[in-house]
Amino acid sequence: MSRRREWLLLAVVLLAVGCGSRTDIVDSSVDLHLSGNWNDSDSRVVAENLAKTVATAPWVVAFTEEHGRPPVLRIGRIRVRTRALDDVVDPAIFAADIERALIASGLVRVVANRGEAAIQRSERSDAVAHAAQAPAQHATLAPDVVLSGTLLTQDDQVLDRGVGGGTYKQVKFYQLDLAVADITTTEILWRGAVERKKLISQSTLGW
Amino acid sequence: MGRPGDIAKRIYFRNLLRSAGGLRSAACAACAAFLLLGCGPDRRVEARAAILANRPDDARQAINAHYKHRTSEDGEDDKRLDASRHLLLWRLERAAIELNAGRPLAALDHLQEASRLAREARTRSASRALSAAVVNDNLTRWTGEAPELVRIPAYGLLAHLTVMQAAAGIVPGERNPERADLHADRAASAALALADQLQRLRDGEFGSDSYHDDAWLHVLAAIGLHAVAATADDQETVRLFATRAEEAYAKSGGMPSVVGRLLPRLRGEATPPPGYGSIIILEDAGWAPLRQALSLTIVTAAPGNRRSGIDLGGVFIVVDGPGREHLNPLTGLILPGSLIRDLTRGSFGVFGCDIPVLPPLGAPSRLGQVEQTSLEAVDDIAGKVHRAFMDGQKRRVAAIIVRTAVKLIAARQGVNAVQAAGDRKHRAESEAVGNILWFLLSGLIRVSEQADTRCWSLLPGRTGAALLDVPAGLTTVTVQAGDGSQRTFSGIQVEAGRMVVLTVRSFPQGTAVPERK
Repeated sequence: MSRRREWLLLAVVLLAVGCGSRTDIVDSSVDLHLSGNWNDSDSRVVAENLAKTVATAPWVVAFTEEHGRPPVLRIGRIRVRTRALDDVVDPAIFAADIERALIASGLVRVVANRGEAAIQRSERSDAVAHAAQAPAQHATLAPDVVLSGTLLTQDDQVLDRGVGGGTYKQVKFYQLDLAVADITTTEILWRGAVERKKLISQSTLGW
Repeated sequence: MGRPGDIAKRIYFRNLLRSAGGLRSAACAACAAFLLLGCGPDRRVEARAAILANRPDDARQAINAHYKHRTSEDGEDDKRLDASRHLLLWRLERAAIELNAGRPLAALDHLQEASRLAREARTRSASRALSAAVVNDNLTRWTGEAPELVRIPAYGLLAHLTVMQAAAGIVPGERNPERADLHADRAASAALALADQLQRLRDGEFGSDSYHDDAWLHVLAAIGLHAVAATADDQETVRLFATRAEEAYAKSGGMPSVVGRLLPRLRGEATPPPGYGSIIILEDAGWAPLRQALSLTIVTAAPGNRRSGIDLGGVFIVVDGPGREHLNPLTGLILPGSLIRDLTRGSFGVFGCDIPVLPPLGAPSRLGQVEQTSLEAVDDIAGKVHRAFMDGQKRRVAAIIVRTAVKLIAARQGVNAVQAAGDRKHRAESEAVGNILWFLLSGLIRVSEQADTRCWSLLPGRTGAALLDVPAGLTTVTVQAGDGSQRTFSGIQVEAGRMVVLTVRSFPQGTAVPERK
C-alpha cells in the first residue's frame, strides 16, 4: 500500500471515529453522575437510606405498640435549597422515591399527599354521582404523622493551580433534614438527616 | 538552449505574468468581497428593534440567525448546538427575549442551561486557544464577562418569583399551589446561587480587575429570599444577605435611599405599618453598551523597483466604526516608493485589524415613577459592563497587535522563501510573483483579524427601584415607565407584612438602538 493511501485510510478512519452521535440504553438502577448536580441516583439512594432510618426508628415501634397498628404517614412539604440555578431538584420525584421505599419497608402505612388526595376526592365525588358501585364516603385513612423537611446544599470549591493549567475541585454536600411530626399533638417524634457528598473535578484546560 | 527545468520555469513565470493583471483584479475583488462579507446587518441590533416593536418572534429569529442556531422550537434541530462556541451567549440572549415577552418559564429553560454552560466554560479548550492565537479571538468559546455571569442567577431569581407569584395568586395568572411551592423553592435556591456567584466575583474568578462586588445584587438576593422565606433558616440568610449588601455599599458608597429603607425591613428591624404589605417595583431600562468593531485598514501602493523616473507611492488609512467621527475616515499620504517597498515588502499591501470597542456611555436611561414616587437608580449595569470591558482592553488590543504583526512577519518570511527559490535569471518574474503573493497574504491576514464583538447585547442598561407600602388585600399599581409607557398591575393580592416584586422593562426614547454598526 502506498504511503498516500495509508494517509488517506487514516484520515477516513479518524473522520469516521469523530462523526455521529450514539445513544446507549442504561439500566435505571445504574448510578450516573455527569455534572455533579442532583440526579435520579441521588434521589433514589437518599430515599432508600432515609426510609430505613425512618422506618426502623424507635418511634415506629412505640407507635405500633401503643396503637396496635403501624403508623399512617403522609409526605408533607420537602423544601429544596440548592445553590446553583441549574441544580434543579424535583421534590415530586424525591417524595415518590421516599413513599416507595417506606411502603416497601412494610413498617408504616403511607397515604397520598395533599395534592393527590384532592384529585382522589374529586374522583370519588364523580364516582358517587355517576358510578353504579359508588365508593364509601368518609372512609379516608387519616395520617397520624407527617414527614417533612428541607434539602440543603453546601458547596466548597478551590482551584488547584498546576504548571499547565489547573483543576477546579468542588465538593457538593447535600443534606436532607427531615422530621416526623404527630399531627394531633405536633410533637416531633423523630428528626434525622441523610447526607450525600460529591466531589467534582473540572480541568481548566481541555482539548 | 537552457536545461529542461529552466525552460519549464520560464514558461511558468511567463504564463503567470501574463495572467498577473487578471490575478491582481481577482485578488482585489476577493479582498473587497471578504471585507464586504463582514459588513452585513447587525442581527443584534435587529433583535433590539424587534423587542422595541413588541415582535418577539422576529427577535428570536434575529438572534438564532446571528448565532446560526436553530432549535426544535423552530422546526429543526441544530446538530452543531452542543459544540457551538456561542452557545452560552445564545442562551442569554434568548432568555432576555423570553423575559421581555413575558414568558418567564421559557426564559428559565435558557437561564438554567446558561448556568450550566457558564460553569463548564471554565474549562478552556487548548485547540480553540491555539486557533484564536493564529486567526482571531472569535474562535474561542464565549465564557461570559463578569457583569453577565452574575446576572444569570439574578434574572433566574426574578423569573422564578414571577412564576411563583402568578401560581400563588399574588398576581393575576393561572393558580397552581404545587407550582407555586416549586417555584418558591427555586426562587430561594436562585437567591442562594446569586450569593454564591457574588462570592466568586469577589474571589476574582470572573477575571475582572475592578468589578469585584455588586451591592445591589446582594439586596436583590435578600429581596428574593425574603419574598419566599418559609423557614427560620431562610430569615437568617436574608439577614446575612442584607448585612453583606450594607458592607458592599459601605465600600462603594452612595446607598440609594430606597435601599436604605429596604435593608432594615430585610433584617427584620423594621416592618411596614400594621396591616400593610410592601410592593417593590423594579424597572429595567435601556440597553447595556453593545460591543462593536473599530476597523483600521492601511493600503499601500508603490511602483515596482525602477531605475529611473519618479518613484512615489501612496499610503491610505481607512478607519470605520464607533469613534470614527473623531478621526479622518480616509487619510492619504504620498511617500517615496522605496520607503513603502522597504517597509511593506511589496508594491501592494493591505494591513490592519479590527479592534473590539465599546462606544462611550451616553446619558443614563430615564426611569419612571409610580404613585408620585420616582423610581430610584439602583444598578448601573451599563457602567459595570463598560468597566469590566475596559479592564481587559489593554491586554486585548496588545494581543491583536502582536498576533497581526506575527502573522505579517510569517507571511513575509514565506514570500521571501518563495522568491529565494526562484531562479536568479528571472528576478523580475520572481519579484512579480512575490508581490502578488504578498498582496494576497497581507489581504488575507487583514480579513482574518475580525474583532470579537460578542456580548450579552439584550442586557438592560440600568435598574430602578421603588418601594411602596400598601394596605393588605387586593390592590392596583400603575407604573409610568421611563419611556412614557404606562403599565397597570391590577388584582395584586398583598398580604400584611409580605413583599411582592413587580418588574417592568422600558426603552426610553433615544436608547432604542443607540449605537451605529
